[in-house]
Amino acid sequence: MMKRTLSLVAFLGLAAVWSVALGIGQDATAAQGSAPSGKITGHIRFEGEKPKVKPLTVTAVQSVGCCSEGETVDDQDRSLLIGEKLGIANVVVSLTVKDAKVKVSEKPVVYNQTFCRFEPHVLVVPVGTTVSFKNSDKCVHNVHLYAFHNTGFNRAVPQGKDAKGTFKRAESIKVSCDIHPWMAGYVVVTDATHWALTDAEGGFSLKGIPAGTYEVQVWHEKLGKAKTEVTVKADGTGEPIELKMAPKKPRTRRRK
Amino acid sequence: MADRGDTHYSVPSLNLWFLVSSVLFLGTMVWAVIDDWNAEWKQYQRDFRSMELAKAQSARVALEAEGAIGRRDELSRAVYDASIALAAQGSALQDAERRTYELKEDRFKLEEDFKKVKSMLNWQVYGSEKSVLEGDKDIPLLEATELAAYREDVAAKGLLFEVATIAWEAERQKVADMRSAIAQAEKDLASGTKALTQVEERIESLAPGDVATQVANFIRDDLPGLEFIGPNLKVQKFIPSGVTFELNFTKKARIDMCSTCHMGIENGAFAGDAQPYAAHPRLDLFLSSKSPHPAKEFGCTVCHRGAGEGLSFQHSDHRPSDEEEARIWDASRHWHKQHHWDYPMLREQDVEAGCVQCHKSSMELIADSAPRVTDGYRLFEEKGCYACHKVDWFPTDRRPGPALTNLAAKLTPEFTNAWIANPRGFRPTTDMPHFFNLENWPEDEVVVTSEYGAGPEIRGGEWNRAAVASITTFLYDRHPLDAVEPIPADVRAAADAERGREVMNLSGCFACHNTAPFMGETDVLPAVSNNLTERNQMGPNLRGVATKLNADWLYRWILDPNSYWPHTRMPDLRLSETDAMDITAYVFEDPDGIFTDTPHGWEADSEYLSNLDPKVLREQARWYFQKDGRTILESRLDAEWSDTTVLASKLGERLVMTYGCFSCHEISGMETMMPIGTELTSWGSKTVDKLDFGQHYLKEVADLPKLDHHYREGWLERKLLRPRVFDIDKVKVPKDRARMPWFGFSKDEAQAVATFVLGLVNDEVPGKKMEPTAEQVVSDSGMRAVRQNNCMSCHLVDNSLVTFRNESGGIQTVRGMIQPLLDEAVPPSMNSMDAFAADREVAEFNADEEVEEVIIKLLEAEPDYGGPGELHFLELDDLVDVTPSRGGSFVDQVLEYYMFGTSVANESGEPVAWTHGGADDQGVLQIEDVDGQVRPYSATELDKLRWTFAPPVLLNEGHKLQPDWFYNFLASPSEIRKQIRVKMPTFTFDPGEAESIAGYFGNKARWEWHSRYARTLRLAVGRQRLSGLNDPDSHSWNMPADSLAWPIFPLANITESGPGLSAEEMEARMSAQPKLKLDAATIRSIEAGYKTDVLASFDKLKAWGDSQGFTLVGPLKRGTETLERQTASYLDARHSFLAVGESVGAEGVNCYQCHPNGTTYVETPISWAPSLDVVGARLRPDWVREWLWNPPATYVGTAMAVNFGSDEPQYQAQYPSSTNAEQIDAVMDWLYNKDQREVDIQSATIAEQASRIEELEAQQK
Repeated sequence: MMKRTLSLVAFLGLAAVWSVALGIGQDATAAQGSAPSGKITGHIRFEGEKPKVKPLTVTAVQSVGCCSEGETVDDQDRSLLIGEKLGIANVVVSLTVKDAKVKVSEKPVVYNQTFCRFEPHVLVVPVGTTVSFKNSDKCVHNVHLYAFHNTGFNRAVPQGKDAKGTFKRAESIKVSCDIHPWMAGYVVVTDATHWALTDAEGGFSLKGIPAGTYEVQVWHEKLGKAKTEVTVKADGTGEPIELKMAPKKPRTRRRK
Repeated sequence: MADRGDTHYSVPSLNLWFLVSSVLFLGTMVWAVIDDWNAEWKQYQRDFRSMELAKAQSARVALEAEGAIGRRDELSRAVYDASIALAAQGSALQDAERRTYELKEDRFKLEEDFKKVKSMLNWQVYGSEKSVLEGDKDIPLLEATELAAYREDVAAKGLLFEVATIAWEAERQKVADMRSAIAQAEKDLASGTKALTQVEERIESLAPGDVATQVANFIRDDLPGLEFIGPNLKVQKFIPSGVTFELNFTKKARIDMCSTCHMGIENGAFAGDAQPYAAHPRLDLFLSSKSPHPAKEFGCTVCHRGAGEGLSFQHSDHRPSDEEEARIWDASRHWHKQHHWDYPMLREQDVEAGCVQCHKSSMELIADSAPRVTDGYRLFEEKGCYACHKVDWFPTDRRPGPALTNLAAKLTPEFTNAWIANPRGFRPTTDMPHFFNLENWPEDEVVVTSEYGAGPEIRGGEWNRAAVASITTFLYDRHPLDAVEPIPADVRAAADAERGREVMNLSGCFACHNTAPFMGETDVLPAVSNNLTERNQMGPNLRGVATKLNADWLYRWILDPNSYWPHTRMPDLRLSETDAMDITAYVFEDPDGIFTDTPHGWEADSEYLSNLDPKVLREQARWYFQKDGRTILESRLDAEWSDTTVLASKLGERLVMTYGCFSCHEISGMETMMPIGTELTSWGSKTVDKLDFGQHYLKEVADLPKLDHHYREGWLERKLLRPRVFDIDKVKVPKDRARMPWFGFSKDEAQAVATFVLGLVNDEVPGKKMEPTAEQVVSDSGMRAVRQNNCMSCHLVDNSLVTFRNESGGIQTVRGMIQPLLDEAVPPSMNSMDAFAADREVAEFNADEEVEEVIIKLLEAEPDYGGPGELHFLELDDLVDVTPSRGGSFVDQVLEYYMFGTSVANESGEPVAWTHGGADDQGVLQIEDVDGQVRPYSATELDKLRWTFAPPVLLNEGHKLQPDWFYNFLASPSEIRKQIRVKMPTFTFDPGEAESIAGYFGNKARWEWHSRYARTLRLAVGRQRLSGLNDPDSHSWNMPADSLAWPIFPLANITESGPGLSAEEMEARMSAQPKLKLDAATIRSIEAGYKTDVLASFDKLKAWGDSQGFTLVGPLKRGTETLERQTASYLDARHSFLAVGESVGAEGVNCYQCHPNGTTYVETPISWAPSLDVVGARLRPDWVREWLWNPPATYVGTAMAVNFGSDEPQYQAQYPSSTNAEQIDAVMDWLYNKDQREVDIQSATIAEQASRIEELEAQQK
């Protein structure tokens, strides 16, 4: 029973990641007006051996009262999800088309907390978006933002309520909850005009891109940044991107 | 006149003499007149006048450019227009004025009539009553009707007078109305042209336009022979009372004529001008009437010295800063040293010496304003100068060196001997000075010829080696080994050196100690403790200690330093036996090659006994025991002293007394001996003829420039840098040679100490001695205790500063920190711009990107920029300067350990990150927590680490802590934050020290409050507030009036961020309340904490703040206080809220998720917060209230969330229909009475049980 619930939760989670990523990607594409038809696809893959992923450490004391009876908190570690063919999920792929406009949602974009996890794990929004950090659980969460280029906050959000923040500068903001320390997610505020989030197999596609050569930026919460160049031909096609990302070296002493 | 022949002298020759002398006298007089006319100072005053004129003229030009002339014309035209308008009314005004006059006259007459009848009535009434009372028949009794007639008359006349008054006033008002337009226009003209008028009047007085005044001024100032009558140019002087100086054995009052030439000295408009016209650079501190040292009361020479009555450059005894400047002055102004004046002016760099004479009891308080002399004062203490040289007021008499009474337990004689001979050979940074092998004992110079001139020659080297070995022999003879208790076998068996490394890094050892490599040697890993900061050089550098100590001693020392040396500054870290053992193992196993590393060439002197050459020892005895007499001495040498070690021990004792070792070190049997150095209490008043300048003062000696002039400073600096230099090339017997040891002072250090010693003068200021207030006394000694115990290594007490060019091109400084650059994990260094630039380059290299923008995170309220935690974006080019935080350098070391570990060499010699817990499977470093578990940390956010594992900040601590608790905590630290591995040590405070530390933080909070208030006020006013609190009519940021009125920190419930009001906007708002008007400049000045303006204008600002409903925690009240939350009556009234508060806190907010509940801790230490049990005793309620509203506004980056800040109040389930403020109130009721709540729960449980038993019993029945 327990196992089934968990896998169901995981499936729902993935599905949600997908739908949100696609949804927002489409938003951005739709904003192009008489849209260019260029399309970039590709995969981001892991370089090296697939690491074993342990479930998150969820303590009974801290998780008590979070979910309705019969449900349990989600303990899947999503910080580095690697598919069968070593594709990496939740990688943000973005590029900037000169003069392209981005539509910023007028309504706050919801970043949900449910089953003691952030939903989606990575939320990509354009600069200027207001995000509503919603608590759909049965317990209090505190939304703690670790922002460096935006004014962050750390607010308690009781069940059913939300806290809002508007982000004016591009950066990847870690979001966590101190009450449930295993909870972590990212709000990626981007100043790019086109972006996509990779699926479970590391695949992505960027649509509506005019012909030309672009620098593609890639970001993953654990593997860091990478970039590559891509050319969209006049007929709207281009070589698919195949990029590999390796684990970052552990931090070493930086200065004396 | 012809010679009549009846005189004894020749009249013609007398006439001739008369003529000659007359001509001579005349000539002299003309000379005197011209000389006086042409006096140096008069020329300066003339120049000054023209400078003043130029300034006034340029001010007029500036005003003109602003359109002041046009404005004046406009205003004048308005006056003119008004007068025309008035004139247009023809004779109406004159008529009205005339009528007013007439009416006034009428009224006056009627008033007189009225007064007359009134006094008549009074007299009649008085007479009647008197006759009734006294039976006086002379005055007839008035009939009632007569009296009534009188009364009627008075009433009628009174009415007439009243009517006349009304008529007159109406007419007068009419005149005023007719004149009102012109009166207003005239008033506007006066106020609108005030600045211009002042400038023009100034110009007129400096350069009068009319010829008569010009001529008069010429005669007064420029006509030789007449200019003395009523001159504009004249000698200026200050005659401060109660300030004297010693002149030929008498006390003479100081008369300072300096401002005769330094005319602009008190005038801020002359800031930065050339000498002698420049204004004093610190008018806020000196000369101005609002400053603490007004010119009229202090004059000039009391601080600067020099000859105050001198009226020329030479005679006032100006001093060049160095010999180079002396040569320039000599060439340009024939400057030469004044040999007949004992108190030459202090050199510019020494001028702070003047502070000491009055500020003996407040040296710490003046540290920011007088850095050099306080540096000198602190060095004088740190290097232990006071131990040998008495200064009667010096505030400490602790022996600066370790006690030698247990010496044998710690060190071997071999080490001790080599150490005495050459302390820096082992530890280049030691405070122990060199006594031997200095320049007045050259190795190969013949010191004496032994046996009263008959024996072999003894050379300096032999002499010194024998002396050192004698001292070693004596010390071990006097203090035989008192065996150290060995480490218990089981403890020793469990030793873990690797863990010891982590314990050492995290417990706090490196807050005071470092392990920096020796000069010129390469860095040996690990590096954390090699980071040299100002603070971790407090204790000795620990490099090489394993070669001098033994493990048993080190183990015992770590566990209890005071048992070995009762007065050591090393505090007790209350480490466990395991921790102490692991540190000991780390030091002695030394996996990192630190503790066995000694400087090149160093070795313990294993052969030191062979230095005890009987020939030398016997000769030394002949010198040092001369007074015993030759016969006795020689017989003793052949009998009881014939044994070399006995003789060496006797000699060693004598040498210890000669060199004064006992002054710094406790030595058995010498505890009460007097120090050997010259008393320095009034050294600065000693005349230079009493100093021995040696043979080489006027020549160059190695490393020291030659000095052309004999001044005290030169002598002192030379003595400090080369204490034996004045012995060179002199023939002196061994006993007479200079004994002052060599401290290895840098030039800066020597100059600072010299400045301080120069300030030690005879008391010349009986009437001006600074009498510190009780508050200042406490702060001064608190600051000293904070410094001496190195508190600021761990604790940040002032935020870092960023200085930048703002949008309008001005230079601005805000309290803030720079955010990490590019993708760095930690912020760049703010120690200096160079350090920042180095970190910037690293970041650019790592990210392969240029830094173009610097993001400043504000740490306090900064009007014009934002509130705590808000960001300000800056172009890199606009960053001007960075100032590190005051205190807290060890915080960085702790954070670096958590994030990067220690770097140690792996097997192939490369540096790798290391912690005791190793790395987890994803390469994240794990640290051992206090519960013994290792957990991953290196990927944790810096803020979380900072607020969870680093020593706490002490910002605004006086407003946070209750003084009683603070004092008790210092005296005996208790555990508040269980998770922190850095230990708050147990210090051995002197009586009064802990109180003064608590007092100092209280005073600091009080002093800083005005600036905090002003800055927060301007930022808060005008911002959007929480809707529930946004009631514009009542300005109510507080709760509704009928609830418990507790002040609320305004930034706490303000939802909008941004720069707040500009000072000008605030000025405009304030001017709506005329009594509370302040201009923008004053507002900014109060924000900057400028004392003069705070004293003068803060009350107005506060009154305006009150009128806006603005409150801020503080200012701290003095004395003991009963906290409202804990009074019986308050508790009675609020008793029922204890349970509500607990429910909101424990269930709603979930306090216990992070804060320990009793002794239970949650499982993840990242969330371990301070215990809530001590809130009631520890924290001040108003601070807690501010904190609960908005924690990050108090501590930027804290892990504590905003729990009560939402627009729509939460926690309604726990406290139905409550506001945020009511919830906070209830939670505070609970927090401040947690013990009472526990009693309540217990009695409720008992009652419940009792009723259940009753129920059961009833059922049974």
